[in-house]
Amino acid sequence: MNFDINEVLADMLNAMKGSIKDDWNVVKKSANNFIQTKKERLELLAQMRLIGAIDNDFFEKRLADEKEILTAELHSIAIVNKVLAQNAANAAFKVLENVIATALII
Amino acid sequence: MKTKILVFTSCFLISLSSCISVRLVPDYSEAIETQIIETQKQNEKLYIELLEQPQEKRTYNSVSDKYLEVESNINSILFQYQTREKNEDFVKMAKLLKDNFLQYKKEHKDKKTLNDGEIAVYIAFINGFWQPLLTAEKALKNIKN
Repeated sequence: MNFDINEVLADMLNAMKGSIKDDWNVVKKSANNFIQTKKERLELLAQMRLIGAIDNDFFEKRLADEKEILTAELHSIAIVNKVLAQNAANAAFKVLENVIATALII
Repeated sequence: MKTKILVFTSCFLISLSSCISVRLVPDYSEAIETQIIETQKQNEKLYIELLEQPQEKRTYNSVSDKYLEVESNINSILFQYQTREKNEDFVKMAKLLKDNFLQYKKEHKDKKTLNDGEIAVYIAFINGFWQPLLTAEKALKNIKN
């Protein structure tokens, strides 16, 4: 049985890198979307306050809500990152599984 | 002896690698994603329909049944999250959505009617809570098994 642990670890690492590279765009896109809608939301809030459509009390309450929206966004990004991590870890284990199966046949 | 150890170790590693599967998030649910999309639409429609009315008619009572319907659907989403494994982040997001939806409902009740600016801001902010929830559920589609 031929089993070079260093080679296996290198292959596992490459599998993880490849998986992360594919999923990274999802993380970036999600974060960018949140930032874009946040910008639009705060611009709207400021504009409504400036033209007197909303009073100061309403304005302050929504500013406080923005912190809670950020909390929700961070939980969402955490999920996106966990999917990335899960995929990377399972890609690495798949490599290990295949290497061992091959080594046993030889 | 050496061969026996090698065979044993190999079998152990095979069984270990075949049953190890990292799981950090729940499986994707098309039903939940659909319910999120439909309830967000219902929530936004509640406000958009208010805009169609003259301000003096935009009372809480005129849409109280719609508020209840949206609230019921949000509760359903939260309930499904609470019974799913690895759902801590989803439960927290759903609770934030619910708390703020109820807050906005209460403010409407207290204010009697809403003007155009207030409605526009409510739409933007409640969607601020819907967006992370939908993003997270959609992200589960990227799980590679």
